[in-house]
Amino acid sequence: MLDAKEPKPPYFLEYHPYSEYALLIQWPQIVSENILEDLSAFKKVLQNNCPDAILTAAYASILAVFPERITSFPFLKAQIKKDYELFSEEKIKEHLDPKDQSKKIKNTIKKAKNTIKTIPAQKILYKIPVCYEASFAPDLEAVCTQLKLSPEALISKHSKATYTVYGVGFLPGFMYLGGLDSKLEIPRKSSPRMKVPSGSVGLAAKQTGIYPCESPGGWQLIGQTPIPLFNPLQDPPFFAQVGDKIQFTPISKDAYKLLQIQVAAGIYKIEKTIYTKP
Amino acid sequence: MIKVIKAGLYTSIQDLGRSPLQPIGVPMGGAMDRESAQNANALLENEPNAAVLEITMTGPVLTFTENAWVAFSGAIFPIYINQNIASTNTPIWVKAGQELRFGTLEKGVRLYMAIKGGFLNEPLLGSRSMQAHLSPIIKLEKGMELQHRSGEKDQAIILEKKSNTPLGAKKILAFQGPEFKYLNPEQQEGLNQQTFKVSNLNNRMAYQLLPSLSAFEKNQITGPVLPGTVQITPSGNIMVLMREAQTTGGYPRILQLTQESINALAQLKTGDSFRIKILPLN
Repeated sequence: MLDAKEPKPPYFLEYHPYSEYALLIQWPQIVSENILEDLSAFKKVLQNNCPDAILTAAYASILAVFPERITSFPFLKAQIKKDYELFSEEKIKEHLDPKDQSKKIKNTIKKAKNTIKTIPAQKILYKIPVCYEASFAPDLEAVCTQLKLSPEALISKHSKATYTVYGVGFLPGFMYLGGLDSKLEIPRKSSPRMKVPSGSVGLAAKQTGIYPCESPGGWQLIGQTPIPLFNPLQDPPFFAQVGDKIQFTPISKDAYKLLQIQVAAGIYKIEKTIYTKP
Repeated sequence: MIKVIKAGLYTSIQDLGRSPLQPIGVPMGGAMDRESAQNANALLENEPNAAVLEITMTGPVLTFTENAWVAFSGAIFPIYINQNIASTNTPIWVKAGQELRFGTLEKGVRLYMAIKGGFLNEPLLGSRSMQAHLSPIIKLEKGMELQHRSGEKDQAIILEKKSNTPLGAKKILAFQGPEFKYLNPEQQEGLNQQTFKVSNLNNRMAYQLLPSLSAFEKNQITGPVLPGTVQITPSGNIMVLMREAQTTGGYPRILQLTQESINALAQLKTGDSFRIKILPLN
C-alpha cells in the first residue's frame, strides 16, 4: 500500500552530473518498495539503451558511469528523461485493462514509440541457510535479553520475513536488506569487532545483513551461513540483483557442517525460486 | 622473475582496477595515481591496463633474475640499480642479477614501476590489482617472487614522457556533489576559502582532511559513490574516497574531485596542504 506521503509513479526523477564520466539519477529519496521496483525495471531499459554504461543502483538512485567523458550532460539527461517517459507510459499500458483506459491515456500510449520495451521485472527469491546456534551467534543471547525476546521468537521473526535487496555495497556482495521486523531493531555494538567471520548474519538498526567476507564490523551477530555469498573465483561471483528477495532458513549445527562439505566439494547450489507477491 | 628482498612500506601490484563490478559492491581499486601508472606503461609501449608496482613512501629492495625493461613514473625517490642512479620517466634496461633499491622519498607519495609486458600475477575478476577483502595477498611481502616476461634489448620503448600528475599540488579541483546544496552558506564558503590538510588517516580507501567543517546532520539514504567522492560526516569531518573505497555510502556527498585531482591527491601525504576550487559541470 502506498504511504500517504509517498509519491506515485511516474516519479519525478532528478539528474545530477556526478563526474566527467558519470550521471546520477535520483528517484524521490525515500525507502520504498514501489520506488525500488520502478528503479530496477527502468535500470534494465537503461542498460539496454546504454550497453557500455556501468549502472550501480542503491535504494532510490542509479549512478551511470560511462567509459568516455560525457560531452553534453543536457543531451544525456534529455535522452534518459525521454526513455523514462516512454517506459512509464508502457508501464501504464500494461497495468490497465483496455476498457478502463481513458482517452487521455490512450493518446499518450499512441505517442509512445516502440523503442522502449519494458522487460518484466522478474524477481528471484533466494533462501539462505543460517545456523542460529550459540557457537555461530555470539550476540544472540545479549540481543534476546535486550529485546526481551526468547531465542525461539527472535529466530522465528528473523526467518519468517521476506527481505528486499535495496542495494549491494560496503563490501563485495554485501546486501542492504529491508523488511526487518521492527521488534528486532537494535543499535550496533558500542565497540565494533576487529574481525567478524565471513558468513556472519547480523542486526543493526532497521537492517539485517550477511558479512560476505571477514571484516571489522559493529553489527550484532545472531547467526552464520555456511554458504559463500561472494566467490571471486566464480562467474558470476555474486548471485543477487537489486530488487531480489531473501529469506533465511534456520538450520542445525549438523546441517551447517553438511552444507560446508557440499560447498567445499563444489556441489552446493543456492535454493532459488521466482518470487510471487503473497 | 623478480625476488622481493624487502617489501617497503606498502608496495602492491596495481592495474586500472575492476570498474565493471561496482554494481555488486566490488571497489574499483587500481593505481591511486592512474596517470603516472599509465605513463610508466606508455614508456614501455605496454597496454594502459598492464600491471605495475605501486611503491608508497618507502621503496622495496628487488633482485632481478632475468633481463628486463622497466620504467618509473610518479613520486621522486633516488633510484639505484646496483650502485648506479636511475631516472624516472625514461625506460631503463636492467640485467639479470642486478639489485634495485630506493633512497629517501623526496617529493610526492607514490611511484609506479612498469615492466615490459606487465607483471603476470594471476588476475582475479578481470584485474591483477591487489585489493583488500578480495585478493589473497594485498601487498608485497619479503620473499615473494614476481612474474614477468623476460626482456629483450631491442623491444619497443619510448625515450622520455612525463606524467601530468603534479607532485605537491596546492589546488584540488572538484565539482559540486549531489548534497552540496544542503550545506549552509558558511560551510559552502569554508570549502572554497579554507586551506585543507591531509590528516594522518589516509590510505588507498580514503583521505580524511583537516580541519573539519561545522557539524552537519542530514537524514540520508544510502546511495552510490565513486573514487573522488567527498563526504561529510555528522560531526563535520571531510572524507575523500580514494580508489579502493566502497561503492555505496550513507554520508552526504558534497564534492566530486576531477579525475586529475584524484591523481594529484594520491601524491599528497599527511600534513600537505591545499585549497579546493569548485568547478561547474554541465
